Amino acid sequence: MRFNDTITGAFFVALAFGIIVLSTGFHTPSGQRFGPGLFPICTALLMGAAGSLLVVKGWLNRQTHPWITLADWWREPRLLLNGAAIFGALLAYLLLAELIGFLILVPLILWALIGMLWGRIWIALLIAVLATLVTHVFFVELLKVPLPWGWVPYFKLL
Amino acid sequence: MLDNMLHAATLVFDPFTLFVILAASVFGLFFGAVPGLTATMATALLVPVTFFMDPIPAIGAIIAATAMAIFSGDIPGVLLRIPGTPASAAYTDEAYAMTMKGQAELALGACLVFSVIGGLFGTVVLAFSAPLLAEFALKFSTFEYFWLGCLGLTCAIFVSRGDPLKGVCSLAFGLFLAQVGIDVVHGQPRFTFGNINLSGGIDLVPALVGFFAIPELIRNVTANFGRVEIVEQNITSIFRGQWGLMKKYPWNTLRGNIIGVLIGALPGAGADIAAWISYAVSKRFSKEPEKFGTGHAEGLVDAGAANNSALGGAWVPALVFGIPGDSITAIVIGVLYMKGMNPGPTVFIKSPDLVYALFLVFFLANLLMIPLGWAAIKFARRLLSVPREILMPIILIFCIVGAYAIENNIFNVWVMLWMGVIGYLFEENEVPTAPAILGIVLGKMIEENFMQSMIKVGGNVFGLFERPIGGTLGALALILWTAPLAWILWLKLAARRHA
Repeated sequence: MRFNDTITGAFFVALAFGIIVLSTGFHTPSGQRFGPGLFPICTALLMGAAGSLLVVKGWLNRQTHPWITLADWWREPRLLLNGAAIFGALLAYLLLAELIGFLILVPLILWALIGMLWGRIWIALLIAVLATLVTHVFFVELLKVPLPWGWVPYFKLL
Repeated sequence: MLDNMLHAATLVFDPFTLFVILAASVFGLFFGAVPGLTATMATALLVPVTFFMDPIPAIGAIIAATAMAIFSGDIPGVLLRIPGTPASAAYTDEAYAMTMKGQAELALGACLVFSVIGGLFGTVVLAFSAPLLAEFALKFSTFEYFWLGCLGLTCAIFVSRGDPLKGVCSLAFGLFLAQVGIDVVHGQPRFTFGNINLSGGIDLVPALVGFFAIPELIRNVTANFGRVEIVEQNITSIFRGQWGLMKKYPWNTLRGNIIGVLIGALPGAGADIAAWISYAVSKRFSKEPEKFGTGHAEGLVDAGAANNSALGGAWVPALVFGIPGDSITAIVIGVLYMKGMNPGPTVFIKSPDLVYALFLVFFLANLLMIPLGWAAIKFARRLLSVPREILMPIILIFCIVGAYAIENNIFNVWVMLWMGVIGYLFEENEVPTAPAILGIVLGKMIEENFMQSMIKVGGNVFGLFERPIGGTLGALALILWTAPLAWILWLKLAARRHA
């Protein structure tokens, strides 16, 4: 998704404005010339200046550069679904991993994604289960990372 | 010194370290050879694993993986006309043209041999220049580090590709991210919005995984996975003809190596820019420029050496000053801090054995590239046939687990997700990512050094110029900041005078 530089610049100007507003509330200790707001304000001024110039540049080029240009894959439903599936998988993990557990959720995510992208459902299931087990053994049992167990009771494979 | 070197050798030749280097090499070869997966992505995904290792295997894994990935990115370039990593893009057409002429064997051999030469050259430069620079840098105080950081950020803007205005926006965004969390000088929470997870700031690793890996995942799954058509050609002895190339192009090799090291050492410029510049220089000064683009090995010699020597070059400022030369060393600096090997001149005094071990790993990784690279070329057909439809979802799970594993905190997965979205939008809108990464890495360092300097000189800003080295660096920074404006004004005045 490509925006005209006016929109990109406006985003940075808005962010810079927000940074300045928040930074002015930072407390500078008495007797000090420079407080915790100095660097954020300098950063915001730099961002705002560059963003403003981008706004102008984009505005001058508005005839040749449309406001929004969608990449080709946005027009192809299958590819759009593929892109959405990556974010969907991430969100599913974020929202459900603690509840359901890594060992149940991840094979389902992998199965869905590999099945969708590759098409061979049953081999995809096998790969999903194997990849989950390998990841689990590597991270949980070898590197001692406490991945969420959720509904699965604790066990050790190695 | 000898004791330190011996200790370094025992650290590197420990069976576990050797195993890690070997495994990371295979990992790097795979990541480099599969189009769409890059050396930076390989590094970002390795970090969570190295988190659980001692410093030398951890750093060794990253060095080995990146060196291998930069080389193996050439393999799909030669056989498919698709660069495996951006560092191979400069000479992919040339290499593929050689394949079309029936010289795939020579092209693959040249990529391997000159990558090894470049890698070893970069290592020699690193091993000799870093200690010398570190001795000089011992004279540095907070003033000099403040200006060095500023120069590093300025350089990142100048060398980043694309619109400089977008480079400045990207840099400012990175600096802003570095300011999130409790300000260590004043104890003031900044931009945390009351979220306890943000108090410690934004963790570098999930941010980098999101910034580099997620956009690549999106790009891969939203492209049509076509069948890989590998050129049928008999590849028996890739080393045949390489001695002839070395004898024919000794100056090209040296020039590519030197350009690579110098470009690599510039903050913000990495192996890809080194390869582009080196290839262009090779064509410009060639006795046969008309042969470029028709399958001529000369450009491969220059650029193939340059992209691997850039890796060693990028480590010089990273190790001596804590200023990353490219995105990979930006990640490495985070790892060095995690391992208590804080980059800077004092690391050469406090842990000389670790520094020597690091140099040794560089040599070892580049020498290992000969047999492993040969094997990768032999198995290229299988390597390139691994379905990306299977790889991408597994990489996604690795990203999630990797981001989580750094602090065992699901919040870091959210950080990765958001950084991924931002990274994707940045790439789509041609906002360079390297300045943002440098901003994240250098932001805190610059601010802390500025504040400490101000405490020393009682808040007098001119105090930043009082020390000779600091003053020189400061003047240089001011010249770099004002020169573009002065240049534009001068051009406008000149145009008005002519009109």
